[in-house]
Amino acid sequence: MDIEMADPRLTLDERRRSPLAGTYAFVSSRHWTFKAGSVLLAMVLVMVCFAQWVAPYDPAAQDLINRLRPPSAEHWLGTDHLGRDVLSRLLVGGQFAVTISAITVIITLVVGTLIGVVAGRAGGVLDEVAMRVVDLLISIPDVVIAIFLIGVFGPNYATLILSLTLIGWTPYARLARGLTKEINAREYIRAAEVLGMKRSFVILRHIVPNTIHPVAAVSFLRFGHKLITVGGLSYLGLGVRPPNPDWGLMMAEAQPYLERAPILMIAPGAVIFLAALGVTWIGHGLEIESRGARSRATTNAEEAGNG
Amino acid sequence: MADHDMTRENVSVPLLEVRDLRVSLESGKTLIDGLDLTIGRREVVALVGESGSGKSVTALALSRLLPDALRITSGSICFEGQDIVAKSDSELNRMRGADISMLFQQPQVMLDPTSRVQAQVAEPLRKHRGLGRRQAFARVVDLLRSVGIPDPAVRARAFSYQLSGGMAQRVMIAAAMAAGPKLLIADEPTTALDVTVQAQILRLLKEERERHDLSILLITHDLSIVSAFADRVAVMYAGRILEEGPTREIMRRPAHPYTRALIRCSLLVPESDGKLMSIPGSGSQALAIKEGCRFAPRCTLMREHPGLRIACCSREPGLEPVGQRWKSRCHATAEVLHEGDVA
Amino acid sequence: MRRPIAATSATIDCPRRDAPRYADLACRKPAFLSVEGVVKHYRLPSLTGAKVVKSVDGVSLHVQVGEVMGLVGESGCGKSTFARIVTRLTNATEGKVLIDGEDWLAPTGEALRRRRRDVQLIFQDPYAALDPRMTIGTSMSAPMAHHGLGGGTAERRARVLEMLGDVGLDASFYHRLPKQCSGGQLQRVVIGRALLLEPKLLICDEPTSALDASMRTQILNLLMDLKLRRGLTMVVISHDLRVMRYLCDRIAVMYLGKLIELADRDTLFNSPTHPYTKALLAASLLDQNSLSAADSLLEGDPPSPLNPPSGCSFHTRCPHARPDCAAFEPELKLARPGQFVRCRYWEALAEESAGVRETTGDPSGTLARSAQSAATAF
Repeated sequence: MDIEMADPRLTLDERRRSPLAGTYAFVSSRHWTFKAGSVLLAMVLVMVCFAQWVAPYDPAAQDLINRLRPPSAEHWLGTDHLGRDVLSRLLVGGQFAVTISAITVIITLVVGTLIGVVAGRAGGVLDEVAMRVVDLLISIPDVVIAIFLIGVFGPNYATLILSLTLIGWTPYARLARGLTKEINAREYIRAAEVLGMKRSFVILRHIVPNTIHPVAAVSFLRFGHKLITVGGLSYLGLGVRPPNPDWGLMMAEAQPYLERAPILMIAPGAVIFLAALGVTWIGHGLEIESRGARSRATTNAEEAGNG
Repeated sequence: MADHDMTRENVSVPLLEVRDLRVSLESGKTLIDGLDLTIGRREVVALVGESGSGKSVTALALSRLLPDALRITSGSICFEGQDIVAKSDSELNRMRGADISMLFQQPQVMLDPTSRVQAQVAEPLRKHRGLGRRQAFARVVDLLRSVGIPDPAVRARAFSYQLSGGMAQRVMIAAAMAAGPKLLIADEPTTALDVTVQAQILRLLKEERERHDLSILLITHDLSIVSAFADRVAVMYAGRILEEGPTREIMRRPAHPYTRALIRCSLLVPESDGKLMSIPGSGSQALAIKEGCRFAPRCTLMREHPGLRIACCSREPGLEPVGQRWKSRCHATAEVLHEGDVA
Repeated sequence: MRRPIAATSATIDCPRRDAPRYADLACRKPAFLSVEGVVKHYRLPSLTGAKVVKSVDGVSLHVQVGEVMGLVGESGCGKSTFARIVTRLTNATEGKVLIDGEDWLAPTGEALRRRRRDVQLIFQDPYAALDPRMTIGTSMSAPMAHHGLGGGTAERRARVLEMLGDVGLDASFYHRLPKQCSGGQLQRVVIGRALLLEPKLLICDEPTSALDASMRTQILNLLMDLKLRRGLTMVVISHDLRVMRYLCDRIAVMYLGKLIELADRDTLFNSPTHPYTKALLAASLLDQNSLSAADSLLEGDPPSPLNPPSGCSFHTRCPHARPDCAAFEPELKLARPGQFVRCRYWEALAEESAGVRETTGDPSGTLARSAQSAATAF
């Protein structure tokens, strides 16, 4: 039997890369929306993480003499109705929304994917029940749940996260369940059964990795959505309590002064918009790619099947 | 043989003449590289190759049905003296079905599941022959009967998803023959069918050829149907024709080492060492070979004759005549022929 | 450690005329794989009430140690369902499957998972049988770990590398992904992955149908090597009679869920008895004359298993069908030594064709001729 020539370059290259170069290669080979989104998200994250050090002023320091000032050399984005520096408040104010959104997205992703995969794999009654629950929950807007829970338990981190995760897992579950059904029908799952692989291996190594790409795409899209929801809740006074800064709260506070100092409304609005746009673009890029990967896989198979 | 005399008479006026056809991907990768092919009237030519050899792309190029990502970059395809490459879409539409018909691998996929068999078979009749509804239906029933469909009047009203694979391919043949084309391009028409049905379809195609003076280009990976079916055979590898000539001679004593290996592989008869013939390596990289013969890396003949190595690896052989209407692209045609009969 | 596999010669002793109920059980040696009266019915809901499809309808088959049994038939004949039953991917509606004397259909859950290594399956499409995101090394070593084979991680890795060599691939494949390999290479990976579990029985479901001619022979050489050197017991399922002729000791022909002929390889190819087997041979081994010879080709399509014909299921297409073929269902009976056939009139047909041969002065007969010529030249 002859030994066929191998091409070991591919795997070697991948292993020799430094983490930074690896990240660069990962990003640079992606769709343009992914690249643009990554830049936007990176900017927002740097801003939020280093806000304490970067902020020129104390975001809570009031200066009632210099209230509602337009942008100037000292206050790049002017001051608000209590004379606080808008730029500093903007920088620090992102922490809350980004943290809450990130935690919710991670919890909902894990829970939703797990429920979806298990339901899809088990099938039968369990699948049916899980999907009916999803149908039920998905029809309730999460703001309504949030208003209800915050009304009962008061506004705090735990309540806010709970109210956002209670429904937030449903899109992941539905997606993961559909993907699981699709993967479960594949021949390599039959192969794993015949080979006597353990059930956990089939789920964790075959099914989950093959669902992760589209699920990640959705999680970024949901992240953007969560940022807006959290901003909205703060705007309604259900999130951060004054004087702590928050994008949504800043917009709420800016409302009476819309005509005198429109920058107070525009600045936080623009930041929420850019952050949401960044993650949405990343999600979109991933989605395009996972679609492309799937169609590439089929063309590969077709090439294998015929000439 | 009568068939052979007939084709020889018409050598001067081939039905289809392809000259130096090149098809490339938009990215610049060439899939078909300088293909020459001639199909005479009433002639059945088989285009044989493994996956990735470019045989299906050739079929699509000849009917100008290439997907957007593929382009004909040079060459000519002359059908009865007219270049198809230069034709506009509306001119092509008039030709397709009327002069050139296609047959595909998966008949059930090619038929529209939402319309009835009669509508799909009648379409070319009404389009190219201008028949009315009632005349067309009568003709459809005749056509279905002629392709061996039982109860043709009943089946004509059926939907295509109600047909079995063999029946669907018969309907496709009826539709392809409806407007009386001169050339039928059949791309793996029996690959998806059971063997007993495959034999029926091949026999039907042969009958159609007798009845309508049809030329057929059969594209296949299966050498076992070639000798039963084709007058001439062209063997493709990595976008090029390596050998082309009369089926009987090539199947008995091929002039190219690839053809020889392919035939030995298909026979599934053990070699002297008890093993089946196999071609070392895979052909997936062959398109990238720029210098020398594209088959050289897998060629056992070259390994057995070290003297050939320099020529084979540096200069690509041309398609040189071996016999009457028989050409081979090899530096060592004499050595291959010297090996004697293939089986 | 490797389990010793008894390498026995595959010759079969002739059964006697007073054969017991399961026709081919009359061999002297005990069967390694015994399939007895296996039935698989699928229930298809429809508007007029559920319809039952008898995908496998009472198949009995006995395979001895070291024997390669071929199962041939057209699409919808139930041969793939048979493979799924024997590999426990689906449950049989009725019947027994014994492997080495033990009930193979009884274990479930963890007990079944542990015993699965005994029976391995080679798939038709190797691209589909491998996870596209998993490297070949992981795909091959993980099953061993799940059966507690091969010791530690390093030893398992060494075993995988050794196996890659055995199936004709080099060590670089360990880190490759399926998309970086050709179909033939992947089929070797699939075979190697199964062999690492040291199975007692290998089921090959169309192992070469998705491959090009040059790849196909490489895989067939590999399977032949397993048969000769390891003495592996195999059931090879295919629609390609040429593959059967090369690889199998005995061949069973299926039609609409039933065995209709079962014979030694040479007997089947030299003197096929059932009209369907004859037609299948003629259609598979085409030669220059077979498309014009009207007698050798079947008419029509295989009937739908949803709506099987009465009596002998082949009578709708049989060129020799008689009126009572539609009324009575024939049984699988011993025709000649080592040959069983499900046809009421096989003797009459054999005499008829012998008579035809004499009158036409064609001593070899049409079939023998086409088989012969296909073997020597196309």
